[in-house]
Amino acid sequence: MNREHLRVLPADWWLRKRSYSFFMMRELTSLAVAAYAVFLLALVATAAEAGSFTRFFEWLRHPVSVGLHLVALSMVLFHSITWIKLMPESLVVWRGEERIPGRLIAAGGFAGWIVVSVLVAFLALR
Amino acid sequence: MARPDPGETGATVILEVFRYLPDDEWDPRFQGYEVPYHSDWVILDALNHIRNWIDPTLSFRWSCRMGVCGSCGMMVNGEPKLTCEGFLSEYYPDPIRVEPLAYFPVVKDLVINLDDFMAKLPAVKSWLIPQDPKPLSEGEYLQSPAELAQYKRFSMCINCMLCYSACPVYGLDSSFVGPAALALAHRYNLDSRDGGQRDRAEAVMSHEGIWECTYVGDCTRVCPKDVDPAGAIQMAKLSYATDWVRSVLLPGRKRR
Amino acid sequence: MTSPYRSTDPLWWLLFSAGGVVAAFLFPVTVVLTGIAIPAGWLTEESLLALVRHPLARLYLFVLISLPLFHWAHRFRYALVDLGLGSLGRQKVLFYGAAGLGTLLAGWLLIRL
Repeated sequence: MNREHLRVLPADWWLRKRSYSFFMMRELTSLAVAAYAVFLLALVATAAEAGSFTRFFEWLRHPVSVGLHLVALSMVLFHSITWIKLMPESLVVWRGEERIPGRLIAAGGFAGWIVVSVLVAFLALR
Repeated sequence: MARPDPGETGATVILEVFRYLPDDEWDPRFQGYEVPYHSDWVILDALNHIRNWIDPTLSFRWSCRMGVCGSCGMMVNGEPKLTCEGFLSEYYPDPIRVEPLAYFPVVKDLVINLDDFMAKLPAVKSWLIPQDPKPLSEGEYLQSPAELAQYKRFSMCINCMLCYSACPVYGLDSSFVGPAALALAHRYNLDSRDGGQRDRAEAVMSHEGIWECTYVGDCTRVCPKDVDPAGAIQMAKLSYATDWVRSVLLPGRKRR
Repeated sequence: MTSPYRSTDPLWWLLFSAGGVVAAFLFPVTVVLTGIAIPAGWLTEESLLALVRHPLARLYLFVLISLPLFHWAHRFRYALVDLGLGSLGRQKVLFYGAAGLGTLLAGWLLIRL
């Protein structure tokens, strides 16, 4: 008879250690990502069906919309920062026997992020 | 964080140790032991003191006592740790809770059943599968320092299983191949002498292999040899995903 | 035993990764545009309407709707398993299907714009 003692992972395992909680928060940013993608779909649908953004813009000016956007922004920023910081783990770059430090690759990623963001803002707002 | 040795002051520290004695009782419990405090003692020293002077029934594994054999891994205050590397001074004067490595079945006291891990090492074919096999008479396989550097970090694993005890995915599903085994598979995939990436795919590319990893990253955080298994798995995901695309677009072409 | 190269796991991971990159690099600025620039009046109705009709903008919107949906589908599936709701997380069709529907809808609408 097997007399080994089995310990079960508690259901709230992700609340018990800081590194685990951080991980779960990071994963749940995907909900904000999906929500905003659906919002963009609604934006496109409005343009395609109504041909006008009047009602859509009225809703966007509402404080609830601004509030939701700020919540989404914080979650999306959390995704961006954790994603770019972790990118060097899969994109390993070598120079001879030395590996280019992950911090440098991440720094490059952040720089690229800023460049792309400025470019998009410029193209949209001019 | 080291405090001065109290010497003759008689300072002590309490160890709350997980006990499981299936011959005598079914329910595990904690037993407190008062152990002399020395600033240069590690938890393993305290455990050996208990076994030698207080309670000879306490069972635990250990060997080299210098962080290279991987035998003495246990949970210390909920964190997987090599007990030969955890100094009492890190925890003194608070009591120290010592438990068997998480997510493994307990045989007795602090001793776990590691059959599952032992089965996974051969399952990922953790040995060299030469790309161009040649007989011994033709001499050794040559490798440059740059080629060695590619995989060296992932070869430092001492099979201590702390990473398995840190991994919640393994805790939820023991069929997950796990950090150490996957990192070791990647060590061989990166070896310039090796050509076995597709041979290892059965275990590594399976649903219980790299794809089950959700990159929690705790395995890397607790690794005592700085192997970075999480990094190895992320590299493996990219490597096998691109290999998969190649296999879909160019079926029949042998890799490498 | 079927070859592991026949599984679709790598496909979903690749889509998850691509969606993660798109969301990481392009979502923050886009959220600021719709959430702050529009209410602040920096982006008018007329200019946005003209903008979304531009072929490059249509491509931008398609990529920003489709790939992040696949990113969510994969990541949220596994998060549900990690949260102990494994049976839900194993219903691949629910998640990737939803992302696929969103993709098709986005494509159809953007063509009609």
